[in-house]
This record gives sequence, C-alpha cells and structure tokens, in this order.
Amino acid sequence: MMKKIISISFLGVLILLTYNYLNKVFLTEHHYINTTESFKELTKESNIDVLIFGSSRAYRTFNPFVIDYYSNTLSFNLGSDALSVPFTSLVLEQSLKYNKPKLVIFEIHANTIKYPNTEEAKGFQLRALDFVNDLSIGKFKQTNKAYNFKEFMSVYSPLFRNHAKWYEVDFLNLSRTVEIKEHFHRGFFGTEMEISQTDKEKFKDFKSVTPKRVQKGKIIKEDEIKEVERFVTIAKKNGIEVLIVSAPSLRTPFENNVFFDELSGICKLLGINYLNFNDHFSEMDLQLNDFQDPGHLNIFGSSKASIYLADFINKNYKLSDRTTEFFWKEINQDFEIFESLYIDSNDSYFLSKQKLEIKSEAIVNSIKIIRNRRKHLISLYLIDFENFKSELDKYKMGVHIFPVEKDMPLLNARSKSEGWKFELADFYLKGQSDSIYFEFNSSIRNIDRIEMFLYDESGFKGVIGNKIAVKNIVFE
Amino acid sequence: MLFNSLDFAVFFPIFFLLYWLVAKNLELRNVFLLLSSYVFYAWWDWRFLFLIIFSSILDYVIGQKLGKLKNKRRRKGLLLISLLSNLGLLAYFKYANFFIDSFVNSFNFFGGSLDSFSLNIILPVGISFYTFQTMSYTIDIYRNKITPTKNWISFFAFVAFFPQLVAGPIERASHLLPQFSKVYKFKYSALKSGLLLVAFGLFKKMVIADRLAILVNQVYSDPTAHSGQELIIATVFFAFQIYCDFSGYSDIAIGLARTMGFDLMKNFNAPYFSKSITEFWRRWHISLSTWFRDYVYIPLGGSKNGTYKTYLNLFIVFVVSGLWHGAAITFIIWGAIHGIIIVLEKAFSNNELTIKRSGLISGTFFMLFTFTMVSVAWVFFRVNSFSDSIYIVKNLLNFNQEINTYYHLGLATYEFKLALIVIVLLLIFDFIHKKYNALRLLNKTNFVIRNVAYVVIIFSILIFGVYGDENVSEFIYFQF
Repeated sequence: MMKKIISISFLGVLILLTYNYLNKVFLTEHHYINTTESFKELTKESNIDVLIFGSSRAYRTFNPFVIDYYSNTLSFNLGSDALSVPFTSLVLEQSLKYNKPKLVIFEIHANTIKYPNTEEAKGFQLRALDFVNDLSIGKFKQTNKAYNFKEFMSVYSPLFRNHAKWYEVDFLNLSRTVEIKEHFHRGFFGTEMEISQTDKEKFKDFKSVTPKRVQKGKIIKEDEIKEVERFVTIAKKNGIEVLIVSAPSLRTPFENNVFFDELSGICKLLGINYLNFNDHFSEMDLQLNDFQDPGHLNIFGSSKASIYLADFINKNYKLSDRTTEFFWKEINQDFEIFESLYIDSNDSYFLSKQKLEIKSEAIVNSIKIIRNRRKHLISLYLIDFENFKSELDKYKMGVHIFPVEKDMPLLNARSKSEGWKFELADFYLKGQSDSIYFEFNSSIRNIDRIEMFLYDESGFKGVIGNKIAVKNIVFE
Repeated sequence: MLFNSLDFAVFFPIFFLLYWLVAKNLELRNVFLLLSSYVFYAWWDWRFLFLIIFSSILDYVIGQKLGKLKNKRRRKGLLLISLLSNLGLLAYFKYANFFIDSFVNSFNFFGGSLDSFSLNIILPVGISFYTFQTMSYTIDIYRNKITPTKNWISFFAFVAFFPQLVAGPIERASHLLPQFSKVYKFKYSALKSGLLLVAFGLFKKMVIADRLAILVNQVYSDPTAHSGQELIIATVFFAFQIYCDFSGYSDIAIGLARTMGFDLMKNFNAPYFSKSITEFWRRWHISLSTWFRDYVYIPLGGSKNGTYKTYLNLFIVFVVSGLWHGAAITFIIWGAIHGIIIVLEKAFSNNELTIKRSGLISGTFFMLFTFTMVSVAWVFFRVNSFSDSIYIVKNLLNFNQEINTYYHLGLATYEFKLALIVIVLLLIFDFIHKKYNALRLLNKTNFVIRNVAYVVIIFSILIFGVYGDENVSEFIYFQF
C-alpha cells in the first residue's frame, strides 16, 4: 500500500512539474511577458503606487518613466493588447498578489468595454490571461463569458494552445521574453514611428472638429457597466483609488462621443474620477506627428499625455513622494537623457517689471518665453489686461524674431528669399483670456531679439502704438 | 463522443468515479453503465439511440424465445427474423444508396434509361459493429452454444457497452455478456494497466494516425497532382495511419473496459510483422475476422466441402468483409484482393516449392512482401473513387516527376520527420510487444523509470498530438 502511495505521489509530482515546465516553454513569446516579468521583479524591490491597466492604448500612452518623474511617484503599466474590461479585473486581482498600489488607472474605450467576440480579440486576451495563471472560480466565471467549453483548455494552458508549434519551441529556454528594440519602460511600449501621410491628411482637423453626439439608446450595456463596477469594487475593497481614463485617439473627434459621456456618468455614479484625454488635445499640445497610428501615440505624444496625467495625479491624489528612495533614483537615473531626447524641453526666459508700452492703455509688465522642441510660446502679461481686453478684436500682433548669428542659417525660406534677418509671424488677439499669448513654430533655437507690435486687424497699415523689443534672451 | 475529445475527457472521469461508487450493487451498476453508454452514443445523435434500443429489444426477445423453443423450424424462423431485421437495418442505413446506384448503373448499362438518385440517409455510427454483436448473440443461442440471459439490463448494457460500441472489438456474448453478471472490486493494477493502454491508444491515434492523415488526405484528395514517389509515400503512410487509428481505438476501448473491471478481446497483434496475408488476418481486426470465420465461413461449409469450395468460401468471406467496410465497389475490390491472395496462399501452402518463411532473410522478405501487398490493397480502401484507384495503381511506379517539398504534401518538414520517427518507434514497440509484452516489461522496471515513462507518454501526446478545436478527427472505423 505504502509503495503504491509513494509511486502515485511521485507520478503526480512528476506530472505537475512537467506540466508547469511545459506551460512555460510553450508560452507565446511576446512583449507582455517582458511586462509581467519586469513587474514581478520590480515588486520584489519596492511597492508600486500607481498601476495602469488597459489595452495597447494604455501601454502606448502612459509612460511610467515620465509619470514618475513628473508626479514623484512609482508607477507601472500593465496594459496588454486589446485587453477587454472583463479580463482587466482578473489582471488587477493577479497584480494584487504581488503588490498593493494606492491608485489604479484604468484606460477604457469603446472597443475594450465589449466582451471579445472575434477569434483575434479572444486570442489577444490570452496574453494577459497567461499572467493570471490560477484556477480560481473567478477566472472560470470571467472566461466563461467569452470562451466556449472547447476553448477552455487552450485558455488555461499554453501547452494545449501552442503544442502544434512544437518545432519552434526551445525546450531548454524558460524565458519567453522578447528582445525589444524600441522604448520599453515598466510596461510602457513606445515607438518613434509617425503616422502615415495619408492619415495625416485624413485627420488634419482633429483639433478643430466638433465631435458628434448622437444618442440612440444606451451605448454601454448593463453587463458592460457591471464589469466596470467589478473592477472598481475590487480596487475599493483593497483601499485603492481608481481613475478611469480614455486615451487620445485621432478617430475620436470624428466618431460619436456619447460613449465618453456615458462612461463619465458611470464614473460619477461610482464616485471616481474620469479623465478623457480626447477633450484635452490642445492642453497636451498634441500634434499629428505625436501619433504612431490613428489610435496610438508615439513616444513623443505619450510623453505629453504622461505629463498631463502626472499633472492630473498631482492635483487630484495625495501620493507619497518616492523620489528620496534609493530605488526610485536608481530606476529613474537615465530620465534626463530620455527627457532631452523625447520630451519637449521647456526652456524658459522670463522678464519682469518692464513697463513696456505697446500702446498707451496696454503696458507690458512681464514677458515669458518658453522654448520647446518645436516651437516658442510667448506670453505678455499686461498691467491692466481687463482694461485692454475689449480692444483685442481690433488688432493683430506682429512679431519679428531675430536669431543670433550662428542660427542665421535656420531662418525660414520666406525670410531667406526676402533677405530678412528675422522671421515674421502674426496673430489675431481676440479670445485671449488673461494675457496675450501666442506661439510660433520655428527652427531657430537661439534668439537675439524679439520685436512685437500691434497693427490693424484688417491689414498692415503701419504700427499702432510702439514696437517693443526684448533683447539678450538667455533661456534657462 | 470521441475518445480524443474534450467532451470525453470530462465525461470519463465523472463516469469512472460514479461507476466505482455504485460498483458493489450489480443491478445499479449495470443500469448506470447502460445509461452512461446511451449518453455516450446520444452525444453524437440521440435519434439513432432508438436503433440500438430496437436491436437490443429484438434480440433479447428472440433470444428468450429461442431459449424456450425446441421446434427446429420455429427456431430457424426466429433466427431469420433476427438476422433479417438486423441486416435489414444495416442494408437500409449503409447500403441503400449503393444498391440504388448499382441498380441504376446496371440498368443503364443494358440499355435502360434511369436517372440516378440517392436517399438522404445518415449512417448511424457503429451500426456495423453493434448489429454484428447482437446477431452473434442470437446465432450462438440458436446453435445452443450459450443460454439466453434473463437479465435484460445486462443484455442491453452488453449491446451498448460504450468503450466498444462504435468501433469494436466486436465481442461475443459468450465472452462479454457473463462479465455483466459479476461484481468487480476496484484494482489499482487494472486501473494502471488500463490507463496505460488508453495512453498508448491515444498516442497511436493523435500522434501517429492524425499526423499521417494530413499527408494522406492531401495526396488522396487529388492523386493526379502527385508523382509516383508521393503516391507511394501517401499509401505507406495510410497503411500506418489506418493501423494506428483503428488499433489505437481498440487499445483505448480495451483499456477503458479494463479500468471498469471488464476484459475485451485483443483486436490487433503486430499485423505488419505478418509474413503472409493469411497471417495478417490472424493479426488484423481479430474480432471481425473471427466473426466472419464463425458466422459466415463455417456456415458456408468452411473447408469441409473440398478444395475448390473452400477457396470459394474464403473468397466470399473476404468480398463480404470488403462490403462490410463500406458501400462502394472499391471496398469490394479491396476484399477481393485479400480473398484472392489468401486463396493463392492456401493453394500453395502445401506445395514443396513454397519457400520457408521462418529464416531471417526469407522472413524479412516475406514480411516486406506482405506489407507491400497489404499497402497496395489499401489503395482501394482509401481512394475517393474507383477512377482514382486505377490512376494510383497505374502510377505508383511512375517516377518521372521529382518529389515535391514536404509542404506540398501537407506536412511541414519537421512534421514529416516526426512522422517517420514515430512510425519507426511504433514498429520497434510492436516488435518488442509481440515477443515480450511491452506493458509487462514496463511494469517490471523500477518505479522511477516506470513513472518517467508514463510522463513521457502523456506529454508526448500533449506536445506532439494533433488536436485542438479544428483538429479532433474521428476514428476511421466509425464510418463502417
């Protein structure tokens, strides 16, 4: 009897060990394995305060490297391809086994809120479900909503799923991570690629178009709402705050935006914040070339969105400052190099207490010039702006930007052809709220002098008032 | 339900646990076994369950009457009712369209003018197997070889016993029916050896047969697109495919029955090591060949009415056997080829010129020769049409074209190499098993080696098996 028990136990252990081993070697090689492995490693070192969930829009948009630097926190992005809401709850539950964050950010858009119903979408979920490698009833219930009985073995076991590709498997290699040549920062996966010229043309009005809002019954179904609730409940039960976001997409302004209104309403009912990045294209200063494709930002765009998110976190959540920790410093030590390469560097120049009279009733007290990778942003602060505000409609502002000698070759084509030693820009002033603000694109990096003047809104008939000049501009 | 399906993987463990819970109570166990067998069959198509029930009622009632009657004429009449009913069902479901086609073609051949038509009939899975099994019951009672059972549940369970219901082995009532009257105690050793047989069967089916089927299906779907070499490869592969498919099913059936305490007859015994066709039929589908021997060959007179009548009887048995396998002229030709070779072997068996087949060289030669003949005959078994078979036979030795890439034959290079490796492994296994009983050898090794071997078998199936949603293929013999 004892012999039999030993033999059966030995066989059982052998089967389990082999099954586990094979499930590892048969895992599909994919960057999400890099994500989850890196997550597990990181959580061994320190607690992650902000966890980001969602689909590729999440992992293409929110870069923990940037978020951490701008909000002094420690974050990680667990976004996975086409990950739908019902399965995100499972990923959240699994992640809680390793780490308890203080805030979870959940990216939702119209496609991911639905249950996956195509072969492709079902396949994508498996990348995340491989991370949720348990046999819980919760996982069974959730998977049962999207997969049929015959698909279960493949859902649960990479060995069953991928056995037909046995000849591609390296049976001695347990690591199924992939070599990533692009940007990979704590689950964020970014590319420097830019949107195609065709798409640029197609979506060129993305900032000016007014999104449609056509209400034809509820867009978000009851069971989909329950799945969002499920995610929020799990988080709240664990004392975690929830922020739901919708990542920027060039398609959004051209689609029916009622979805976002409904999602916002759901968040209100659940007592959590909702941030739709599609409403803030201008604040983020998103341009067409910040997108890698119409649905996803590239490394430049994601940096802008991540800074915006960091700012939102700073304003709305009280997270502890992690910057003093050695570990934080260690993992963020290369950020400045990254910043100089991929984030618009906001060099600034500030001139105060000047009393420059551009017109008798418009006296400029201070001037702020911000220079970033692509443009210059200029703000003129008037002593009594409210008094001048009513006249703004009458004028346009002309600006001459004189480069230093070494930047002369950077003058634009028009200036070169005209033989000017400056670049000319002009702006309507109407609609300004608390200062005169304008921005211009220029390749000039180092400015010797900027001259500004007002002229008649209908066309240049001579300078109205005085031409003011700012010299010796040294950016900091 | 297919043995290599997820449905069965769920069904059997539940069945197994409940079975051993009720195993002590004979009546309850048999009722449970019967209902489970019906569920197993109904999973495919519940409507055809009524055919099994009809067959079971008919032969049970006739069996009871035969047991009581002494009058020879009446007994014969009852037997005829049983045979005609069972064969009638078989004829209608399996051969109706074949007979209609044959009639129309013959009529037209002799100058008539009839439009061809066919009936929309679904062939009930396993009908050829369970009708033969129930017929053997009434025939054996008629011959006074067995007495009729008084327990209808046992009889119904015997007819529908799920491990062998759809593809055999075709059991005799004298062997299997009494086993339904015994109470079994759970035996660990029986469970172990039964599951091991199941694993071997699944390996043969999923790793070998279904892999070879990819290439075979590709080539046989359009033989005219392939060279002689490719047709040979496909034909040899089919020889191993059908062997692994069918013997794999038998292994699973025998293994499953063993885990329940039942003993089913051996159906295959290394047939490709046969040195003659006569020997081949002693090793191939043993339950069917012995059935034909007992219920067709012997009633025809067997070898008692002189040499030529014996040859004729043998030939008839094999033609009928061909027809049993399928309602098509190609199956009849397949049976006829075997019949002719067996008659020739019989005719020359006592000839002084006959070379001894027992030496190493001559033995190997005859083994290869027999395999070649069997394989050529398989062409007729596998083809989709008579014209395809003629094309293949004509072109088997046409090596004008260059052999194409393995991809062209439907298998990736690695898959092709694996197919060759597993065929070699199968032959080695059969060779050892024929001489020493490989399972017993494995049982004698120390428990570490033994358990590692179990794990290797299990995971070889999971890794190299052809399965998945679209890949669960039916056993070839389900169609017969």
